[in-house]
Amino acid sequence: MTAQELKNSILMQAVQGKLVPQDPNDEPASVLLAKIRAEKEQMMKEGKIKKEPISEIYVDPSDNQHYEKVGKSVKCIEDEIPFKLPNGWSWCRLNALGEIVGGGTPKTNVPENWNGTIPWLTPADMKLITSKYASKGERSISETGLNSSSAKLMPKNTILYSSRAPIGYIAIAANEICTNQGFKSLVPINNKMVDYIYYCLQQRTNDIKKRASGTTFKEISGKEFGYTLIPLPPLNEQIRITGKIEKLIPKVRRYSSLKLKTDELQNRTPNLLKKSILQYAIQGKLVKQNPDDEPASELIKRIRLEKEKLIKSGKLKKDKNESYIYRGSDNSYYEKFQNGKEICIDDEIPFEIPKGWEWIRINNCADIYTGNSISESVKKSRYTGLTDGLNYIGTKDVNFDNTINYNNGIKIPLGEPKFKKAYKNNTLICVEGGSAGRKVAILSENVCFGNKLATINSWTIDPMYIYLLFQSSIVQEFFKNNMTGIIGGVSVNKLKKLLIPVPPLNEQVRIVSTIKQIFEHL
Amino acid sequence: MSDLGSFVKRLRDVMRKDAGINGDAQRIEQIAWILFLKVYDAKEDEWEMDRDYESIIPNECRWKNWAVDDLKGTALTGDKLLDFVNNKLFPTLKNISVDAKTSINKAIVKTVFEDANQYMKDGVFLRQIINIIDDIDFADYAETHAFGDIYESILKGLQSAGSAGEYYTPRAVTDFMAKMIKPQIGERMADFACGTGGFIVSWLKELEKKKQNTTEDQAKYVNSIYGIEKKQFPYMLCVTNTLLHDIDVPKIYHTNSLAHDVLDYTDDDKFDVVLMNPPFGGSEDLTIKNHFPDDLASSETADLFMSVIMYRLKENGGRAAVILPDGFLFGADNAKINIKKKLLNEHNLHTIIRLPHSVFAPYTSITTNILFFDNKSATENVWFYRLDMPEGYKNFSKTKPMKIEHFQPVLDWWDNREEIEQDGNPKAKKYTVQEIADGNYNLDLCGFPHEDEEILEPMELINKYQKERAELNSKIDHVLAEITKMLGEDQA
Repeated sequence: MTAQELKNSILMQAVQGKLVPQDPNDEPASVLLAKIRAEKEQMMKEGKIKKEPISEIYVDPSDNQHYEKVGKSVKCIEDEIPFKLPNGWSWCRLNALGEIVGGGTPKTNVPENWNGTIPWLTPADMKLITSKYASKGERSISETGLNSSSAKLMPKNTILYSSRAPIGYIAIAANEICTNQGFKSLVPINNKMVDYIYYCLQQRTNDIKKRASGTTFKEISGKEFGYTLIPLPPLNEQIRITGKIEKLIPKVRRYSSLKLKTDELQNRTPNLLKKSILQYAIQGKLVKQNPDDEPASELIKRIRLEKEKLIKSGKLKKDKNESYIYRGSDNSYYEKFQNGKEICIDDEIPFEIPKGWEWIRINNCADIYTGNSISESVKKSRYTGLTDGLNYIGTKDVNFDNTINYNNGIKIPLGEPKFKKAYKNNTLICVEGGSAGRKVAILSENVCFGNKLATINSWTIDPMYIYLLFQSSIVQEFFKNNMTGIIGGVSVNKLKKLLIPVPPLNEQVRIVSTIKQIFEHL
Repeated sequence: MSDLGSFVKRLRDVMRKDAGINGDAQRIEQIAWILFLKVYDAKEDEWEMDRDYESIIPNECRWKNWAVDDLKGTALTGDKLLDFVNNKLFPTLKNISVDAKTSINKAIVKTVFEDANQYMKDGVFLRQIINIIDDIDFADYAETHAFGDIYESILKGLQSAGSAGEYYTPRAVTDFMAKMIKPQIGERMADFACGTGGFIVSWLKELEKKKQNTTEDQAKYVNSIYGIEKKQFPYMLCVTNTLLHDIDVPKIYHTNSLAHDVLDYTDDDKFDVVLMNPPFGGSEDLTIKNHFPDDLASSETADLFMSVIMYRLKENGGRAAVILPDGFLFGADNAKINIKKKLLNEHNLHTIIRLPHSVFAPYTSITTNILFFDNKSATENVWFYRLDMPEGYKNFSKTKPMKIEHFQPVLDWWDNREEIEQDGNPKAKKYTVQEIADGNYNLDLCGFPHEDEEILEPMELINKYQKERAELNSKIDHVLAEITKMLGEDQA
């Protein structure tokens, strides 16, 4: 239930006479309406308001149906009556309760019309008004402006109702005010009824919207607005009703803010949970270790062998900073380099890993490189509209939700010189620009790619596990701590030094499948 | 004099070779009972000198008779040693006869061995371990004292040994709390969830500074501590820890603090000081909850401990410092609100220190708080102080733990309390009881901004989510109930 639904329900109760009990001693609404009709007639005689036929609705006791008498004609309007009213209440048209007044806009290119002392309201102003009352809008007009336009000065207590863009903003004038043509307002004959009409019209807005005309922009005409059927209680009951509504409204507001917090909590939790579970997984806490698994130390030996093979065959450049990481007998971590240098790297280790796992620098198990940049003109002239070739992926083709737009129209023909490739199951990550570290995806086909993206072309390690690592906080933290430059980014050389936790290969597979299962539920 | 510096390393090197030891927690468990027996043996030597002492341990099971290696080649080792330990020593010690009259310093042998575990599978390695431990000269006061620190570092290893980390509160924190509670000679302190005895040791260290060199003061010093620990492993560690700190009669009990009717406590059960870090996130069933008055009967362990503390503080001057999670501060379920009301109305909750995250890392990274209160009066104001992460630290870790120096800003502020604002957020601020009551007893004030940058563990996150959702739901239910009531009012 939204707060609006709650408020609507309360208002519905109110206008059906179910919010407060009826008091049989109250002067019935029919009497009140008769008094108002008499006053209207008097005002018309005195020329204070336009002369027009006055509507009167009554129930014929012989058939219990509702009839409306306008001037001389009488019509059965039972079809229009939305619900039954309690004793003492009567239906009436809105236009029976006062005068319906419109608005207008003085010529905007005439400065003398503007910045005067007369408050002037537009529906846009209503967005900023949070209370019951409106005293002014963003702009004010002058006497000249008022007289030269169809804007009408209306008294305090007028009910201001926006008739378009959108329909349904409502406020009570706190002082004399006029509006633009986006309003139809009611200048009430009996000021004591203003609060009730204010709430009642809110409830009737759905009905008003249904009677609005226009295809693109709905608008309710003054005439149609005036026809709005108002369920009217006795005056005393009106006061009791609005009193109760105004006691309830602060509670509804509190409900609204609590619901907002709840919705926000619901919305952000799945993502937080995903992050948290990923973190847990790469710390070795998600999936049980199996002491029979080949330990990661053996896996790392195989990784090293594979690396040497790749270097020998020319597929990989020789690594000048070859190093390996081991744990000393004092339980601290050390990194030993080719040149014999040995340092303690305890401070770089972000968390404890389980027995059977190892830490390695990622460049020992993956070739990391960025792609090629292509100018827009070259893209258009040479690589658009081709049928054969590899898709070319730029940063904009990688989305924040880890999906990739492969078919963006740019293809690079196979064998095109100097274009680097990224391979199916490689992880792709943005390393430069505003999305650095934030756009990560896994490739489902071989591609060419942009220079702000880096591919993690790994061997031996489960590529899905690498993909998980790159979505986890370990990489996020790395980017946060290593971003340089005004535009922002992390160099590939730095990225190659990323420390990653390596579980036994079997465990990598188990982790990947467990995460897949869990994330399906989130 | 043995080589204490490499003590831990030598033990670790040997244990690494034994197939029966899996992980840090088991390693410490294994060391624990051997160390206990050795320490106890040293204590028995002292006791035998003073009076007509009879050991509760049967002769063949006493350390000097089976463990000491006289290097003549006759010492038990290999399979013979394993057989002796597994089939003679353990069963004997587990089945020692103990009754209500047995003095504590004898009864602890049985209680320590009740659930002790012998994990090692190789008698030769076990012999090596025993020898390394036997090497320590506990008769030498200085060596015992130095060993106390080593024991502390062994205990600290628990913090990163998975769930065993729950038994260890970082010493910087216990030292700080013991210091601020200002122990006096003659006072008695209690920790009803004492774990490995951190608060007890910090209290003794602080109290020692005030001790005069008289037998009376020494007697009061030795009698000043009291602990209860429900779990066997930390209980064993705590008893050893206390023996190492020269408390001959360690009043440490292996029971469940929550399994007694709070209304039954008499003056003898009450203490001048309580220092505690109750377990977080635990939940208790009806059999336990029934020991508490209905309005305070929470299912959360930490909440129930708060009630135990309030009922076991000595009237008119009892004081406490307790570590509690954020959940207690903002929790809005009935039991928590009632507990907080009782705390504010019947006690003086004068200070809440908000600690930074990762103080308990790597065991957990949740944020915690220290509540200081006494029962001299009702609360008028609560001072909040947020201790920020020190300069140069992104988080605390095994290699960069929290140190007592990090508490210096609090110490500087403590006696000269001023409101402090930082970057538009309050860092130190005083709130009246009325303000807190108006806020529905939400004590989550002067908290850390940008809390959601921290990644919680999945279960913590789920718990936090459930707590927040439950709290929101209960607030929503409350406002809807008000609305329903108003709608139903003065209906015909």
